[in-house]
Amino acid sequence: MAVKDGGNRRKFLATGWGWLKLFASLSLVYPLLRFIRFRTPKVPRQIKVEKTLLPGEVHLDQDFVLFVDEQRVWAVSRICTHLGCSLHFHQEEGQLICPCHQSKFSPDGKRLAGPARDDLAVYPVEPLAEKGYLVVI
Amino acid sequence: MWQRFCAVPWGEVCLVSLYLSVLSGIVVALQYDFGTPFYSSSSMDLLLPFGSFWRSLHFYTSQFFFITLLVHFAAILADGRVARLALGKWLLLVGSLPVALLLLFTGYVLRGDATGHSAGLIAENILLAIPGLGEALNRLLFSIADDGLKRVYANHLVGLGILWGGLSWDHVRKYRAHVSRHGLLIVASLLMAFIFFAPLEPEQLGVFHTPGPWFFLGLQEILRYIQPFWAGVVFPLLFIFALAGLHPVMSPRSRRFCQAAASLWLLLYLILTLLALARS
Repeated sequence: MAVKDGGNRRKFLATGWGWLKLFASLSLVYPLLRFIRFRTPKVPRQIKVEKTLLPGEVHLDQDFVLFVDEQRVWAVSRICTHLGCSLHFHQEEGQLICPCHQSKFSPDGKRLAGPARDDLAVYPVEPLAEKGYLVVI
Repeated sequence: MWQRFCAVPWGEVCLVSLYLSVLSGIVVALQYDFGTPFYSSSSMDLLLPFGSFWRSLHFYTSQFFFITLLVHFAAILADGRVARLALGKWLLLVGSLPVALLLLFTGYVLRGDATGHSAGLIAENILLAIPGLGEALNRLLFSIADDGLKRVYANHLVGLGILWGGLSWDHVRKYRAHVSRHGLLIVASLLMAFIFFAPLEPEQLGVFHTPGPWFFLGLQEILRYIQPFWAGVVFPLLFIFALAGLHPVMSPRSRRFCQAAASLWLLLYLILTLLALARS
């Protein structure tokens, strides 16, 4: 009887130890997920365009496209809202076109055609007193 | 003819290509900088002595590795050698296939050229389309929009390699690749790297179509018509599940179904790839 009790105790302890190890391993998943998912807040970037554009001219930066007409100056994101490819500006069609899946957007950032569903982000632009523009993205 | 094809030691060829790919990859990594990926890749081609040779050697041997891995899978399924593998081992090996593809894919992304840059962002957005898990998976594998190529590089160099090794180790450890028997493959790889430079496509502002890597073209095409989660996650997984179901432990009816599903998937992917090529 005593031997049987000892066997049961050992089995219970071994099973418990196994569960403890499993629980300890799984409990590491939470801090791992929290660690990799955290996004360090980005400082807003101010990008200086060091040239003055005439109305109708377009400046293509790495992250945005800068447009100027008689009344205003504005910048729209170059990141396609479908799958994130960099848009190119088609001068003749006057549209931003995605080279990956051919989504099309107007210079105001409005979605015109293609698999993208959302409009483009529009960034604030400040004309500089001396020359050029400041775009905040 | 078919028997002769299956008799080729594709697994060994695949392993030798992997060794060459890893060795040339280590050499490339000594000069590569993920902070300025395109500058780094192009300066390797233009400035560094033998830079284009090492980059091309890594590119071609990685392609050989993946292609011969696919052929190896096809050969063992065709001649019934798959029956020698236990189901668990077969599932692990099937799981190693998408990891090998990711290893190849992250290599394209790390070039930082028009193809790699677009392909990386597409992959990131496909992962983000997975409900619930997507963000964590993206933070683990890509996170290009937030962190540049830092995580892609870490995964290409270490994470995915360890994962592939872990999934296939029980199978691979039993085999010895006799390098001396594959002199022709080694010489062909070296010659190819000397003669044909690995592709590198700078961004061209007047170009309104950027085709992805050859194995990504079908996916790029289907993404035009179907939402990213269905096209980029569910559709590729269908093939993996069909492949997993080809093990002899499954009932003949299930196997026939999986065989038909896998064949149909491959045919569809071929058609999509041809459609994508027609756009170029």
